[in-house]
Amino acid sequence: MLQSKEFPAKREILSQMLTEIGDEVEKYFTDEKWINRLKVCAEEILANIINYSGSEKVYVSCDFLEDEQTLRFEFVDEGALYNPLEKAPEVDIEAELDERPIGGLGIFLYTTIMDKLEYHCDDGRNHLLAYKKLV
Amino acid sequence: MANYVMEVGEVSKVKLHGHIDASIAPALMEELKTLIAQKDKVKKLVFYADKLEYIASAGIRSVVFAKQKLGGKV
Repeated sequence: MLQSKEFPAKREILSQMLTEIGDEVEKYFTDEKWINRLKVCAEEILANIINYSGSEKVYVSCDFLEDEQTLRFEFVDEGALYNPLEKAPEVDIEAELDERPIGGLGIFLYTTIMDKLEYHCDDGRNHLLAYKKLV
Repeated sequence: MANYVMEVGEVSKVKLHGHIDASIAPALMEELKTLIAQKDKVKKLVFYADKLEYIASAGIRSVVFAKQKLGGKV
């Protein structure tokens, strides 16, 4: 279990964060494809926090909900209050590459891969929770 | 070690392998921009992804960017 671990919100630390998150994921998921998919989701969420929130720190938690057989991640930052789920752009994956907007792909990936996402603001911090049931 | 190999020529090749994450994608994007700047010399650009295990949106964005700049050559 990863319990609200604090990391500097810096791109140079991203690999370290993903290694620690990957270690947690591997306790529950054995399929390499799913391990990588969940790491992609974590990377996209963390990259958005690092690049756009203005927060100096990010807090990462990962725990397993036995009753629901679900892995839950929580990402907390102290940046500008922003609900990424509210303004999620639609991505047309059938569109020709030439016609695609260059943004919005990260949020599309994690909203598609994860089973459930929740956002709330608490004590001036952004909290994003992401859930994935065992597959 | 970079997780891609770029071979520049009339038919340029970009071989992606392993993990292309947000820490690697900016370097890939820069090299693609350099290649695209010489687009008159490039007749075709081929991406190989058979050994790619993981790609974040920043990496996908680089591929889409190349396609948008080079059109039918990719």
